Amino acid sequence: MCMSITVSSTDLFDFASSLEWHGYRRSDGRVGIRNHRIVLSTVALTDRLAAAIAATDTDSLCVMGAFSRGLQKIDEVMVERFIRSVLTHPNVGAALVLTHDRATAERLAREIDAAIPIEYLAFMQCAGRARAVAEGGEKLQMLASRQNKLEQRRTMVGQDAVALALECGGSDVSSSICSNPVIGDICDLTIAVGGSAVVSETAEFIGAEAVFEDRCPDPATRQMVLDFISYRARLMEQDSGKDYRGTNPTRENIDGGLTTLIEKSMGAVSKTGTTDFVSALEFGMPAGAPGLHFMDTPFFSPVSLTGMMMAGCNLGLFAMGVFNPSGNPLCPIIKICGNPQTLRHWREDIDVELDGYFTGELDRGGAQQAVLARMNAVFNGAETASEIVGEGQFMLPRLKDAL
Amino acid sequence: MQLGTQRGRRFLVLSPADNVATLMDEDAGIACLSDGMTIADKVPFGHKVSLRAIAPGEAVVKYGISIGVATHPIEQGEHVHVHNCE
Repeated sequence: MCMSITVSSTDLFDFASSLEWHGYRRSDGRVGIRNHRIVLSTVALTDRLAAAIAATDTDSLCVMGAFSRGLQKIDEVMVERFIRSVLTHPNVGAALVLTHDRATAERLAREIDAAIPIEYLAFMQCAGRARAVAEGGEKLQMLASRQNKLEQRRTMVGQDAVALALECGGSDVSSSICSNPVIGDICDLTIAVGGSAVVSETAEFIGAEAVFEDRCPDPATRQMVLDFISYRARLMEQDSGKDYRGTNPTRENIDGGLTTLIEKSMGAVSKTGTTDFVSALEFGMPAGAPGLHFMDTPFFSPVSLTGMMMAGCNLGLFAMGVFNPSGNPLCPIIKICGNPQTLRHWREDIDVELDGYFTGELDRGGAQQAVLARMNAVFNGAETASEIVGEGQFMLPRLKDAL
Repeated sequence: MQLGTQRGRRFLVLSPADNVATLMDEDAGIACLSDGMTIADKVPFGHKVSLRAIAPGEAVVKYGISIGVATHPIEQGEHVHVHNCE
């Protein structure tokens, strides 16, 4: 007879139905879990100005990515995509957009149709740096009063407003058998109640192609995901000169108990739960519809988190094995860790501690509830560990050299 | 999902369809699972043991999916790794 403790998924659904979700419903129907007034720097030339202006308003958040000029088409498209996705992100309540020149400010003002108050400032048009900072500060105050007039505030919404970014970093045995599968359970729940989720870091899925054969009912989506994976596998082989499949799992993985490449990849895959994939997205494209989406991104988590934020994710679940500080300033990231060694030094950087899973004090049902309870609290306004320390950045993938 | 808490080694079965369990503790000297099933001794933390006999060519299932096939007959409780699965 098995002495195990099993908590069925009905317990998770019962617990979920006892929770209330309060978010900011935008006029376009999307729901934010934060109401940031941002200072958005559209080019590296305005990054320092953005920081100086944001410093005049303690409630504002600076958004910058050291964006270059002279980019070739595909990289230029990526920066444009970033600007648009940030200005339409559900966690943004108002925005001051900084450009270097007036033409860009005028073009963005003409082209971007957002559901929030937006002001523009062209650095070159200002009469000196001090005036630029003062003018930006005045515009921020104007935005604040427009936000007050609009009465942007939390109202009761459904759990279907959850738009998850699924991430793992510093992956180890603990994340592959504990944090990732538990995140997968929460992902299944989120999709079942009408929410959405995005998973990225294409290279993590090399070896797990069979999963997408099974879980992509739409043949075009399936083909796109498989093409994304084979493209990344080719990149790795070109770079290392080695057959990735032939040298994985590594000696270290095998010592840790991993037998095959698909078993290694399943650690990352398991955070997507069991539902079907409804779409395959290029980097930073909007997810739009409910359901589970695959996004093609590089594996570096600041970049992949940026991509999933751009998809419109309002909240992230991050399985941490060994310590990894990654976060995203616009999309609060909940760090979940089961590794007792990591927890010994990094508790301040971790939101949900699952080490009890390894000592037998916590079963899977208990772990699910711990993650869901924290997710609900963060949705409703509780700060994540990375929000408290201001961790995270915005990084785009670099596709071509600049002119 | 099963998580043993009694005497014997703690283990985890990630999906009901799985035919292997992952060991959750470092007590490599104990030759049984917490549910009483006899297993090979000295199986390290994070490694797998079979929950039932697996014939050559049969799928080894973890996370509810086939992670490989048995290359040799695997008895119940045996260490499942690169020597008998690929």
